[in-house]
Amino acid sequence: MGHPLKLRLLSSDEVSTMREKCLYLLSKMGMKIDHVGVLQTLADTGADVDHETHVVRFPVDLIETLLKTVPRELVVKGAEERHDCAIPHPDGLFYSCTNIQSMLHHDVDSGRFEDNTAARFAEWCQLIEIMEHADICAIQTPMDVPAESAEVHALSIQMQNTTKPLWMHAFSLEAVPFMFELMVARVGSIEALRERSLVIINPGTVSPFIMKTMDAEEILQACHHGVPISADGHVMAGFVSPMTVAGSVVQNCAEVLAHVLVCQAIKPGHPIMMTQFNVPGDMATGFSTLATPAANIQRSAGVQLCKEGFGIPVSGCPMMTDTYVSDGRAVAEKALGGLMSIMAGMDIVYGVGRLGGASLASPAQLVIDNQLIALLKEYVGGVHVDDDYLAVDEILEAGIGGSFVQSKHTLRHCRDYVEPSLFRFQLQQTWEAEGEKDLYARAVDEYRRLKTQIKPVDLPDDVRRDMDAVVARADKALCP
Amino acid sequence: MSINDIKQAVLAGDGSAAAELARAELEAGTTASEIMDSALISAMDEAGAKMATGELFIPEVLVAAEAMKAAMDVITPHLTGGAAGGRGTVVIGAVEGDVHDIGKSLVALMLDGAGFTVIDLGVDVGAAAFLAAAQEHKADVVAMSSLMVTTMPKMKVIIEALHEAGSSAQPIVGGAPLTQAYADEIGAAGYAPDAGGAVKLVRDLV
Repeated sequence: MGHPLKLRLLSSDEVSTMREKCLYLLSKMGMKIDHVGVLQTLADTGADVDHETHVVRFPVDLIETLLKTVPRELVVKGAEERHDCAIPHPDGLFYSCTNIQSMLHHDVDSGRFEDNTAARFAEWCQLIEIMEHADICAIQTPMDVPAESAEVHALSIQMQNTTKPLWMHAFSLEAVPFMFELMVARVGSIEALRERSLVIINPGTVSPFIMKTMDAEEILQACHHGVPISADGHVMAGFVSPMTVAGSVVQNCAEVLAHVLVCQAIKPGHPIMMTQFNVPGDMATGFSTLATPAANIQRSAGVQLCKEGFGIPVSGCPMMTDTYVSDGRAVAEKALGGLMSIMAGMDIVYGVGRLGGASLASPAQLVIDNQLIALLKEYVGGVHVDDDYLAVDEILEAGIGGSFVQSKHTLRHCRDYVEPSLFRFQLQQTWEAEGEKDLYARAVDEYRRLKTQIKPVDLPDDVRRDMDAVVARADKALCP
Repeated sequence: MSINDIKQAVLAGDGSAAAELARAELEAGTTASEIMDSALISAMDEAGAKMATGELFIPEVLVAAEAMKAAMDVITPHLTGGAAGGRGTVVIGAVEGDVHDIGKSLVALMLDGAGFTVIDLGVDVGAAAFLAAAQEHKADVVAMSSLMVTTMPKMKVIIEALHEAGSSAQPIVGGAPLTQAYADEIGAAGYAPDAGGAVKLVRDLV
């Protein structure tokens, strides 16, 4: 086997220093956690809890104790076992995840961004089901369902249209119980959910250092239901974290670490990953920039700190772009960002199918990114070195001035390197004869071809009925 | 020494110089009102315009705002009538259910820097609190932010509450999921896609 290529941005001493600073911040300043039940659990565990301000300080000894129970491995499970993602990846590679929340959808016919809808999101999930390199399907926001229960509808759509693992985040505290009810309805019982968790949940931080009630409740419920967690910090350098990369990386890691500690205090040994959203702010507009060199350096350094400093698996969002069309910039930014974070050791890369702005979903970009992920796996796969791959006997057999094209060795290995259709070599004459199509046009063709092959998940009637009942209850409870 | 020197000191973010120059300009006989209009507000308008083109970054605009305030402290005791009241009052907050603070706070800072009186209600603010603050502070504008689809409908509730109470404050909205079309649909007086745009919008409305 080859050794996957790795990138280290920080020295071991720097990792050690930054780890120490994370612990210092959580012990000295702490985290505001707006959840009475979680505060009591933390107090019982030995944290220094101020029940009036809701600020929790974690003594360093307690942090080290809680860190010992964090699993170094986990499995993000889909509805079907064949889609399970064992982390770390057994071949030293990574998994991909699509984009979260998208309220807008790029329509390939009109060429415009239009409201995401239940039908569009269902089609999106069905596409993911058949895409080889789209491993995890993230929740989006259909705009033609009640806004107050949109995430409950969206999770139901995910479950009815793909059996791959789902990336989930609630938009309101009130929706959280319904989302877990929905998971239970899909698999039949809470015991079954604990066996086949379907979802990885993504609570976040309001930087700097605030954990909302909703996110704390998500952790609590995830622990109870056996659902793995990938906890997020939401630093934006220059605005809610230091402008400098090292400062933002430390703050982000400390914020995420607080989630890890909460999780382990609630349920020691519960699987949790550390997420690197971790972006710089654009100093001209105040918006976050997702695909700049600074963003990618921040995330990649964060990956190294989480993995080497704490030994915890990491997800993040390097498949990002700040452009609004599937152009050269989009591919360049996604390839550069993806490659850097993957080489730094990121286990789940998020952003497949996403364009810039407020999380724009593009099916054409989804098609491109699916194939880009295939290329990235090749790039980081490393070099195989053994007798077969060295092929010295083959070289000798071919001899001086000889040929390899008819050898069994060449036949055996001629498909070692993937050639995804959008990136396949073509003769210029062939390309011209096929209409001189650029990457986007060919992606649209491929999207239309894939659309003919997709279908919803074949769910038993009683399961579908139970899920519909949960959604109906959510509508009744959440919508005015 | 000239009015323009004060303006340049503000743009350079040099509060000490701006204050000192304003003091000297007052002693030379220039009215406080003229200093405010021709130097301070003019400087912040220029800073806002340069920010819109990417020539100035937000921290540079904010330090200019601090310099403007230093000069304002000097001239405020000499202002009379309407000029003493500033450019107008804005009540701002993230709507109920929404705790995203960054964008809202940035808009508040930028409005403050542009010379408006800003009442920042924070995050997770309901209709009653918006209405009470608008009435108490005689707000010209009520600015609402939302970063989530689930909290966007609250904006409509707040706008309706303002209308029902007969408030003259003009409601404006912003936030990542918002669009001009949505703002029109819920009866907002305006929408801005970013902090610079919000300042321009408030300037146009007040």
